[in-house]
Amino acid sequence: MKKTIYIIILVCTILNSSCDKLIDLNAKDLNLFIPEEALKKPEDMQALLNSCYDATANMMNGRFQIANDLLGDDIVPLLNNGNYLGIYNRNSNQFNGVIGDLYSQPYFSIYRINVMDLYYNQIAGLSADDITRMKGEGSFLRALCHFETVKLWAQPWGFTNDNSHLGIILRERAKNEAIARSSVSASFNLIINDLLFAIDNLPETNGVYADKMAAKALLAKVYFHIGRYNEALPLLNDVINSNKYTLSDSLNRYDRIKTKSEIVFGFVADSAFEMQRGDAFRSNYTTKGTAQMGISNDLFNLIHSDTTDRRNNLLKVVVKDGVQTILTTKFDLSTVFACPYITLTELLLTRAECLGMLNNNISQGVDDLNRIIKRAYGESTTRALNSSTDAITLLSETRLQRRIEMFCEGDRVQQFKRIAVASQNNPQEIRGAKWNCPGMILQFPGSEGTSANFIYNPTTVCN
Amino acid sequence: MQVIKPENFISKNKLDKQLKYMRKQLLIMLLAFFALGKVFGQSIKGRVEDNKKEPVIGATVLIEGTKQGAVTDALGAFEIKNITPGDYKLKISGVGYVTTIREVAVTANGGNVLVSIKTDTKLLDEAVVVGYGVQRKREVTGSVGKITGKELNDMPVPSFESALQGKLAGVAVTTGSGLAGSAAIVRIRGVASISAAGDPLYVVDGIAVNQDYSSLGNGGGFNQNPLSSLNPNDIESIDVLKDAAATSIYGSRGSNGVILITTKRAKGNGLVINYDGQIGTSSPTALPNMTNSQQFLQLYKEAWINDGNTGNPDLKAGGVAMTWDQAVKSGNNTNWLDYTTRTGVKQQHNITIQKGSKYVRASGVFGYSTNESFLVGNSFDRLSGRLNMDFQITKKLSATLSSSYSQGTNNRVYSGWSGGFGQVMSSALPIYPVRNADGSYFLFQNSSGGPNNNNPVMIQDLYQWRTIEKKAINGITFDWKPIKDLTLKANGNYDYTDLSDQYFAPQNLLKKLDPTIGGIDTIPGYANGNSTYTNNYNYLLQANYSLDVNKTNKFDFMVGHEYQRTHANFFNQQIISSKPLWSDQTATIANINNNPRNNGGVIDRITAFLGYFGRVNYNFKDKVFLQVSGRVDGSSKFGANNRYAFLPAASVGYILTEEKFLKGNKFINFLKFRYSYGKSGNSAFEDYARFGTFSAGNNTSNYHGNNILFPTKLENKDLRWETSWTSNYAIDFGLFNDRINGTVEYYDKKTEDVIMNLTISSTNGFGSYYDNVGGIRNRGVEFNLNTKNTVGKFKWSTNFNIARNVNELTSTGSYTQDAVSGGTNDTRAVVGSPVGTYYIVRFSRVDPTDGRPIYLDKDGKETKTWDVNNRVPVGAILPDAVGSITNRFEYKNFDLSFMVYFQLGGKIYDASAKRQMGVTSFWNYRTDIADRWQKPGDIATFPRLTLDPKTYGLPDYWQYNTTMWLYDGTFARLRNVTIGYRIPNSVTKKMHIASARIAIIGTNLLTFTKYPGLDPEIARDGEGSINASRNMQSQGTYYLNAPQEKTYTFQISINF
Repeated sequence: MKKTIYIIILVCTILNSSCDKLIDLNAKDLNLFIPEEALKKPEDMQALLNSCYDATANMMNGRFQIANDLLGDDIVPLLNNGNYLGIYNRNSNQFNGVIGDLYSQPYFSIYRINVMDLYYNQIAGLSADDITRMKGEGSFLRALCHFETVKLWAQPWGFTNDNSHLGIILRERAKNEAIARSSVSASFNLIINDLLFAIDNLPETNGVYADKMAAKALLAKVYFHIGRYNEALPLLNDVINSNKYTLSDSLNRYDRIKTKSEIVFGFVADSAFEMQRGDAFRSNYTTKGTAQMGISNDLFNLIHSDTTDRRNNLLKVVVKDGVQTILTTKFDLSTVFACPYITLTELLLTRAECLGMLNNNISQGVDDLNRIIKRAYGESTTRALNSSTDAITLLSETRLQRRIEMFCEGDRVQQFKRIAVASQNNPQEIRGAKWNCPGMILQFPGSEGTSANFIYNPTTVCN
Repeated sequence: MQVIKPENFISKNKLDKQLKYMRKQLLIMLLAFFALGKVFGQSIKGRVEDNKKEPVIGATVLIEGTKQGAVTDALGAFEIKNITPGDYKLKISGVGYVTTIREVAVTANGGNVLVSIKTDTKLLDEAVVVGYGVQRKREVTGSVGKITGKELNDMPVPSFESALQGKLAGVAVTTGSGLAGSAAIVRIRGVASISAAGDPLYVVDGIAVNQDYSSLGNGGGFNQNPLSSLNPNDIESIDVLKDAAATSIYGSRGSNGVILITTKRAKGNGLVINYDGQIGTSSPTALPNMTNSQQFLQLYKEAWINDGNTGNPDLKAGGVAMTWDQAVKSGNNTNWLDYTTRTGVKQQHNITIQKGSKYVRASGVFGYSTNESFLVGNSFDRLSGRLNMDFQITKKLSATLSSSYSQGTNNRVYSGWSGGFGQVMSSALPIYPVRNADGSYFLFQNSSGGPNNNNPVMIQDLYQWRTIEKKAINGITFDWKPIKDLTLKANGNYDYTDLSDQYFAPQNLLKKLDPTIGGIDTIPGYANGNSTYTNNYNYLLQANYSLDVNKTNKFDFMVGHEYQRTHANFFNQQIISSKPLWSDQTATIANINNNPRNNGGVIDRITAFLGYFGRVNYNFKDKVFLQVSGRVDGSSKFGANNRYAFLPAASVGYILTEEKFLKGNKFINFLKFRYSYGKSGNSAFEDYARFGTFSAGNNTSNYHGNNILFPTKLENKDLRWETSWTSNYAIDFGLFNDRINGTVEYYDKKTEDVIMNLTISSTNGFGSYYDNVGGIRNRGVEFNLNTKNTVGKFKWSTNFNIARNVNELTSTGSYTQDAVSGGTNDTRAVVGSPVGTYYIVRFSRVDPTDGRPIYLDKDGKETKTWDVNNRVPVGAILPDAVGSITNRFEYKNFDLSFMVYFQLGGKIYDASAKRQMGVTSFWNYRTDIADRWQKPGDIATFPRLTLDPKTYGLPDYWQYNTTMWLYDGTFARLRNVTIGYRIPNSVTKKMHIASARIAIIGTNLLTFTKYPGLDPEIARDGEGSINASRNMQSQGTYYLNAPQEKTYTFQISINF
């Protein structure tokens, strides 16, 4: 009996000596900053939105621009960097580390924007106006991110007649799920719808953040990219004619102090920390350290052929150990650095080309282009076009000036593709490659192939 | 609150009366004690030795028919006090010895006796430590292996787990590299996890110790070894639990097996002092065969010409830090090995002091060791002390105290992928000088063309790096026997680790690497420290009850409960200083927080774990044994929906030789069948994986001056336990009176809900997250055989063991093989293949016409383009079988033993060879490149030299993962040779010592392999996270690792 009592007491003691509370360590106990704790107040939502700008700025800090330019003919990799060479040789594959990094960047921002959608109705004190503005900014940034992604990872608009060819994965909600690639048509539909929503909901002014004009300018850029010039034109007119933006005298739009007036939308770098905004530009193109990227002889000769072109000042010829290298000083800024995304310069060139393509109001196009030409070659330059210029001349001169004006800004190869589509598969080549060859777009990183049904781009090289 | 009532107060008078009475009683007791001392004041002293005249430690000496007795100490001595003169019979018994009766006469002067007892060849009564208890070997129904401390001691290793190699079938140990302080990989019965740890649970004297390999990441080319702080000399024995019946009582932590470490405790009475000293050398088992300057330049030029160029090569364009003219004119021919390797000196000294009495026994072990590796500047020093005490408080109450403290200091150097010795095999070219003409260090070039820290001599000279680990393990246990057959146990433990990785970069180094650092001229240097403070508490309540129903039916019941809580702080710091943190006592957390260079902050990590467990053992006639156990475990790592797991097991053992038809059989003296089936679990993965988290960034994170807030991790609220069902079939046998004995086992372990750190589509906003996906199966056969080939004066015994494990990844759910990867894009989780399967493009041959490599596409057709889509499974990191054969010889005072360890199958992927003999770049070549294509018609192993990846059909020079670099991992190695000599007693007596032995020990003396690289035994670092990929690549995948070390050691052991 004594034994039994001991045993019963013992078992009861052991079984009751602990409880679930000992291991129920919730996020608060663990000092973890979980979503429910992070997103409680309106300012939390604003901070999350700010981080979307931060993430998009990191994406457009030179990374995307360099990847675009490596596919084209304006720059050359100077060092034996395997990842960059893979892109330059149009033979990127899923193990290319640069591509893995690039591809993840836009989706950081897109995910955060989609997370905001889950919380709009749960935050006490968040006004309807704020929700409208935030949703507008979110749509703008999501469109920007999807747009930059589809340009690099999918064959361009016009690759197939109905644009049913594979585009990218479109993320419209924050959920961990396997999604198949959408068509290019569907990709652009979402981008355009997001921007239309942004135009309707963004305020007229919004500080350095996206506003109505920024959304119109981006939509114009998108329409222009896919050859819908008629739809781009009124948007361009709205923005340019708003007189909110004035052309800067400076030829370097990355010098924010001098060119602030012409930035329609961009990523800012005001504080010492934000100096890193243009890190990828700065580290890859620097003339002060060892540059990874140089300027191609083709582009150098193009600019250097006219010594009156002030844009020659953005080039630097370096001879080291008997080897000549051409570098750009465009990103050598030691003061505040801006990564403009849409500027008046680009919009003027875009409108000029739209008018040329539509063969409509050529004189306006000539005026737009002459503003750029005169800034580059001087007011009295003989290179300015006269009012009797025809559409073909306007187009060819606009494209030439666009290449020079926007070199190293990731624009060249996309213009090449657009023009190739517009000229009905004119078999022109860029550095030995046709516009639609498989290597002219990037391969998706290995992370995408972890889902069983994902379809990679073809791996065949261009040449 | 307790209220003391007035009636409970004792009056002063009453108290005085009570005190007087107590004093009187005490006086009477003292008088009686002295009076009895005259009568019972004699004692029997003696010594117990075995047939080799070695002292028998821990033998029980009982006066037959009484409970009076003693236990022999480390010299075999005992003393039974307080007995009257007369004739007595002593019953001497010990684990592994035949019980002996010896008569002794006790006179008025006491009695002295020397007893020699024989070894019990059947070993059936050997005590085996099992989970939460000890069993006789014959009763064990699970799969358990045992190693004694002496066996470990014959293998001079800085960390004990390396000494387990080859000792037990099914315990595969890949020793760490030659880097001092590196960790071995221990896998029991294969690999059953992908992203959860694959390491067994280590339990020291009942305390589950912290064993986080990833606490410091994988800096410098290896993971921190959490076991290196335990002095191997502290260890009395190690028991390894392998199957579910044995491990399931450890529940969620037993899935990968359990290693139970019992440290030395005092036995018997008297004072015993032992000294054990070792001194030895360390050298590499192999050295890289890199080309010299002339060869390098010649090969580079050949690549240049092959590519259609003329003249001298543009070395700079290829990333080389000097021009062709500079290289040729300088005449440099640096052999970087001369500057980075040496013969390391190792020594260790251990003193063991043991003292016992009837009520208190104490054992202290104090050790100091310093282990230099063969890499200049690299060593691991350890200072350790252990105090184990046993108290017999009352007849029914006893207590044990186990306390240890150690400090390990690892003087680190770069190695592997991170530089140092890794550079010697890669970018440290023979054309580079160590120093420029002005005495300054020659700077190599980084991928951006700037200077880097790759000059291994510069970094070795200027950079100071230490990892310091302070560890204390303390436990106290009370055993109370309130009634016969019932034991109650309460145990509390505290395990504290202070691990700090500290490094210092002086101004002259910083300036070399980046002269543009702001204010560099005023900065004397940066002192950094990454510290982890881990507090690990646990308590255990346990009850054992034995119920002997009758002579043939006996039960043992055990129930228990334990709780463990681990609290870790991670703290990173960087201060401007002229000296490293280890010599800067002012660098406290407080003032570091005020220092503008502080970039860390404290991060807390807490995990908690509790378990309820029970076990019933049934013994029928000492021939049939049944065991049923169950455990409920809960872990804070899981949410409320999946927090608990029930882990049951059942097993049976049947000794056939106890049956009449076999009893007394001269051929088969022992035959036992065992079977077990049970479930175990694993939750050793990232602590907070189930939570989604946000961050507000650091102080400088903002956008346009406005705060930012962003998600940092995806949540998975449904994470649950990784569990394994294991069945085990075994036969234990003894033949010819155990001249031949052994065990054959077969197991089948099916793991489900495997925890994987999955790579997911980046479009989810994150690169990875944890989920329970798929399954793994491990099946295998183990065979262990001991033979006594000769007995008598010349003794020769042999142990042979081999284990074959078949590992298969049975499912990865809806994910592809690329969802979990390891190495440098070489291993993958391929369903139907083993964990850590190489998934690469097959190389076919070199085209004799143009020297270009020819690959095979997925269908086996030849192609000259390397395409990632042509990857196929081509072998795995895991070997087919591992084993060893050990022979021991004894003749008079001499003994000799040697062990050959072998691994059959498994593949080695030499990821560095693809650069050393791949596309010509800024890496040095290995001389193996001599077998290359040079002209049409050449049949060669390696293709034509080129500077252009396109020549090989590659996107870039890194992506040359092909079977060209895949090798058979089979090897055999003379792991250990020990020659020992026991100093004769006649000599030791003159020297006033009890016994002494000297030995010469050699390790890794010979290696037999077809692998052309450095060393076929590869324990690679975890590439940043133990969880993410360690199980996928830890063995077999080679990337610039240091080779294993070859050691010669002189050992002396003295008992005073």
